[in-house]
Amino acid sequence: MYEFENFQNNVILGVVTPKLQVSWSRHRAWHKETVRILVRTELIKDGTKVKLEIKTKAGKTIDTLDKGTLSGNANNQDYKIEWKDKKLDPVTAEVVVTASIKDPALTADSEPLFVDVVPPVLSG
Amino acid sequence: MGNGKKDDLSDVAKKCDKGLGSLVAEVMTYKALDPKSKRQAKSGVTAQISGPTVVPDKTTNAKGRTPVVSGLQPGNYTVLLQLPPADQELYDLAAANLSKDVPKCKTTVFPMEIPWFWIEYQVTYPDGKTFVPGIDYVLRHKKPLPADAPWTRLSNATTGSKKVTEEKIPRGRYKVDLKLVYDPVWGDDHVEIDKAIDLKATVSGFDPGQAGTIEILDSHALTAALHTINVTVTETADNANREVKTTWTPTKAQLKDLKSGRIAFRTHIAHSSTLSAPQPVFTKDTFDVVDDAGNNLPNTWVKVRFSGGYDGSTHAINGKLDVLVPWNEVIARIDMTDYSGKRVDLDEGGIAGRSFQMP
Repeated sequence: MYEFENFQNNVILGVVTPKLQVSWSRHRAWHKETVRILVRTELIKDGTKVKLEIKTKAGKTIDTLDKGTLSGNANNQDYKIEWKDKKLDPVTAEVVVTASIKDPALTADSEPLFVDVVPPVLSG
Repeated sequence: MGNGKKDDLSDVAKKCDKGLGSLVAEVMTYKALDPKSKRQAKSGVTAQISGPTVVPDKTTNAKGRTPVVSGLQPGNYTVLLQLPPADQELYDLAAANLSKDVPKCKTTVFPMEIPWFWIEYQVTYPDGKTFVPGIDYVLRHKKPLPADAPWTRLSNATTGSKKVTEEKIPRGRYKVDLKLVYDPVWGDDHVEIDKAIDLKATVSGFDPGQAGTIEILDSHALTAALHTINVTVTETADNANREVKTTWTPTKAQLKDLKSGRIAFRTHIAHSSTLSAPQPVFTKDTFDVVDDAGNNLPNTWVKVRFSGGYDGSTHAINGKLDVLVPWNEVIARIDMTDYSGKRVDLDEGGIAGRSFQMP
């Protein structure tokens, strides 16, 4: 409970725990599509900068976005999947986005986004 | 002791008449328990003086002093301070009683101190340093007696970027209730159409009966609510906490605009809101597992893989296969290991003509 009490002639020390969540706008996407990254927070002030690190499931960083700032405990950023020069697994990339803020220091991982890096080849 | 200035006792009788003495009470006040607190003169305090000579009550002036009381028979005198009714709860009167000997031919000073009560409060992140502004709160007070005295609301305000100090306040216990809703919890690990599920979040600071809402959102959009439920703050069963809680039975109609197959719920109360973790949505479907003649197959294991990758494998029992179907997905593949080499026809979701060769 966020209820803090003490007797007179003392300092009441209230402590709150901020929260950070991040998710993709899609569960699956094709290469060159644009997806949206949704950052949601609780108890974080407006203007706080958000860093987004897009990584493979194995931890290889694909892209870093660091221009976003929170407003109303939210930040949405569109991201175009343009990984031609990234030397990724040619079949399917399972990627997560890690959101982080510095003050307070918080990080959160999204659920994976499955990206089909190359178009499917269908038999005739 | 005193206000640091040399006592001005010029009005004391210049000569010692009849071997009598005199006294003056000096009342100072300060922030209790604070050694750095600057002493202040306390005016308007009534000094009741008792001793060998009866004298009327005296009242302190702007300098915190009573008039000099002269013509006192030498002996032990007691000064008892009485505060105006409005001040009585705000000051610690433990030292409001002082006895001293008053000798003849001298003016004896009765220095007395009555510290005021205070409370300070702050709201920070767990580091204890970074203040968290913008949270509405209620400051409540509970008198020390009786033991079951109720909490009373003193004020409503919003946290800022520094510590708040309230001075000259009544003695007692103080509580800062932050008006927050937090810790949203699903009652199950998945959502099933037409099956009731509990949604709840913990609440602090808001009184029972306070209205709020729970919005059901597409977890991949988090914008327009798919469905909204009105809720009110209640006490938990053990009266230890407060919460908002509802039992919701999702329907296909309510989730008709759900595209991702996962939902989250956001609870709003006044200026506070909290977003739950996403939860997958399923519909329960039952398939007949029959042979070409329409007879139920014996109990068998069926591996079911859906178009989004979800594995819904389960047992078919008495020719019935109960499957949780992920929202907006269809069966992509069926394997029945007991029927290796056979072909299985699938009639699902209006998609006709699908057939799988068993490995």
